[in-house]
Amino acid sequence: MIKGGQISKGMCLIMKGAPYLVVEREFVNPGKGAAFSRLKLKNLKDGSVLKETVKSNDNVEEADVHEKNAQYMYADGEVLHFMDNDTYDQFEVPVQGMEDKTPYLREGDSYKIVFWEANAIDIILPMKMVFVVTEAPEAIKGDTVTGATKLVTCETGLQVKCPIFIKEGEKIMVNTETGDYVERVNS
Amino acid sequence: MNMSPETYRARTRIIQAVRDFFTSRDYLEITPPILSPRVIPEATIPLFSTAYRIPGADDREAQPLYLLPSPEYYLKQLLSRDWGNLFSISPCFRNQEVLTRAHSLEFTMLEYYSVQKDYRDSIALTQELFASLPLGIQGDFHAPEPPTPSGGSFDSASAWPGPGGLHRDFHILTMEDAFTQILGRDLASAADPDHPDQARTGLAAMASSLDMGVQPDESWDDIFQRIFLTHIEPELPQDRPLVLLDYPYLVPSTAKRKPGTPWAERWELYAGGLEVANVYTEESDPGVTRLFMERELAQLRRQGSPVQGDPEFVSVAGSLPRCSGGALGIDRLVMLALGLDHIAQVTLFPLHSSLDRD
Repeated sequence: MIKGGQISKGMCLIMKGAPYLVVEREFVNPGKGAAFSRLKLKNLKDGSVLKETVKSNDNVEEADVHEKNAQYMYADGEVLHFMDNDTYDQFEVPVQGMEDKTPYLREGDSYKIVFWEANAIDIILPMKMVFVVTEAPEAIKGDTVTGATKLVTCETGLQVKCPIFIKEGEKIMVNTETGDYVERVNS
Repeated sequence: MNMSPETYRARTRIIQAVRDFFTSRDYLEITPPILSPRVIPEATIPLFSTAYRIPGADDREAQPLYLLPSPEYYLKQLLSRDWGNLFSISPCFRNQEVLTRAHSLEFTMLEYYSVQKDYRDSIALTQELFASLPLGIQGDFHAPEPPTPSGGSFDSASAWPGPGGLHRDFHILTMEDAFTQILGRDLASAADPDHPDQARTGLAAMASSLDMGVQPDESWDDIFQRIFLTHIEPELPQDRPLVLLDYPYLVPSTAKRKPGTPWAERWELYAGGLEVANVYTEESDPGVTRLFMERELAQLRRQGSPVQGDPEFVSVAGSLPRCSGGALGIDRLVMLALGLDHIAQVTLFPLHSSLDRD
């Protein structure tokens, strides 16, 4: 059991007998009223989305989940293939529900995979990742306004809004949570 | 996130404008104490407590003192002594807050009381206050942003309307209509203060129909807050400031009941997705105030809190003139006026940098 106020994004909870992943968590504390955590939850069995709000002092049941480090191998239709870094066992993760993570998956890289019972339910990305820019449109001439951006494509197909000085072949650091460009990486 | 001198100057200018607004209308400015031996018992407001140690005396004789969570305790004493219209702009303290873009542990609050007025009169007053404020870092006026579509966004920062959040034309929406329009549910039939058990059953059924779990011992107020925070608050229109009018009387407060209805004479102001102000027609019946305090004290005892009630406060409330009181978060007002989206950006030496967790 944990307190409602300790819930964070990425945690797995049992609500009304079903397992849920916390997709979004926002603290709300009305000026006159108790403190709450407002949640958006994804049902780990059927993928349905549930909105709930729990009081900070109330107990909430945590789902029994564990993590494995695994290497991403390849995508095959609706399935992502991984290999357990310790046992070399291969396993599959359904693409469904991971659509926002797949552009960050690079063959050969290791990721943390979250399991509930025997089901892989989430992929945890490093906070920041470095990608090679494979397509970058020329900056439009005369467009020198500070903060001007353009859309570039990286090796995995990931598209990122970058400053206009970024060129094809350069490396950029990307925040995987927001999808935002962080900085150019010189190497 | 250091505050720039320009932002600090703008903040000072806004506070001065608030002060000028009330002073020019003959409200007396009060500087309430910060360190207080007594507070109004409110179970949902965790306090910062400390103690006065008498020199040479045993620690057990130390007397509890609290950092004031709101100036209400003192301003109401002056109102009961016929001091007339009052306001204060003072630091307030709330414990057990998570430091977010909208919350800190210490914040600046405007509190104002208008004698011989009710909560509806305070709407016009607050609109006039908004219209009197300088907007933008340089004090220039920014035209309001185009309306932001309301709807389900948990990322309220992305829906930030900029300085237009201080638009002086307020939407007015009753809580009852918010439930009908946003949820298609009838709140009145599940909020009758004269039949609290029936109201609880009705509200629990509403929660279940919305796929929300309900604890067997959960209070009406807690179920209401969870439905409101999950399904209503994120959907409120954000293109202009919104007065959410007539809160359920079953939500504990010191607001007067709207005669013959399940509602309290209370509204809250939402602007830019933030709760900015909370306004009542103040309860002046000593019997009702005593019941409120007893309920809150019982709840505090269950929570293991040492806070005591002040028996004199009941008679203070009983001798209040007819009045409307409002509390407005100055930091949030400055955020709205300057189009900034984090309280640490409008606070000099914010606690966020040393305690941040969200």
